[in-house]
Amino acid sequence: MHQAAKPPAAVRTVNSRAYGAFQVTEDQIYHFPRGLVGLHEYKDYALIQVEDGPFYVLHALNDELSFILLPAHLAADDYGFRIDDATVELLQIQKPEDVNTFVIVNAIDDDLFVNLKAPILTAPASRRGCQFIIDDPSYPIRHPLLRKEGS
Amino acid sequence: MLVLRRKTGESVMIGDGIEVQVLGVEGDTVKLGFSAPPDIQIFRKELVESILQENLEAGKRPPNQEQLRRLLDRFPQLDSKQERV
Repeated sequence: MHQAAKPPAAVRTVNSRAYGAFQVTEDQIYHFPRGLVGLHEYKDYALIQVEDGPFYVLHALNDELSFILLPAHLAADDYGFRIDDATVELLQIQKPEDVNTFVIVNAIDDDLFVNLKAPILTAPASRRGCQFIIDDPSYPIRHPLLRKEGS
Repeated sequence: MLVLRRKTGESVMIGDGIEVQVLGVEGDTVKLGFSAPPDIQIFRKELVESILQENLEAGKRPPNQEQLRRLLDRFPQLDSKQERV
């Protein structure tokens, strides 16, 4: 698990069956006011970069619920969408650069799939996040990474 | 569950700000129009349910660090393009 090299001291320990107990710093803790789609009861997460790789873990602070994320630009080319005012307000952002976009990875057997339909948006400045449903039928919920063009 | 009969062009109000209007009926298909404040998200239930299912599937048994390392070998395109977000 990635430990921030910067000064912020660890403020929480997350006990995880999948990843063991690990420390997180203030800047790694995100509040999801709406939770995730269908999972509204889990609102507080740690977002940690996995060592030596592009993956991130989004782990519920107090529960055994976690997701593997990938920065969206690694998972899809030409991935763009407009976010509505309510989400802008929820994330407390002013401009597109204020938000990071991740896709949830679903590993099935030896294949990797990413959810392009409902990415995870995080705003490091406000440390808020949400799962945003893109109103565009061309983005699938289960997009295979193997068939990615040019790979 | 509240059941109301409405004719084409008629509406129901949900709270102060949400209006659902029957725009038309063709066979067993009803065309509805929604007016709601911007913070209310409106989606087909099947879409929300399929995203929930995918969330549950992805969150059910996420790969551990060792498995992630092995995945990187299989998906070198993720490694080579690596950069911080």
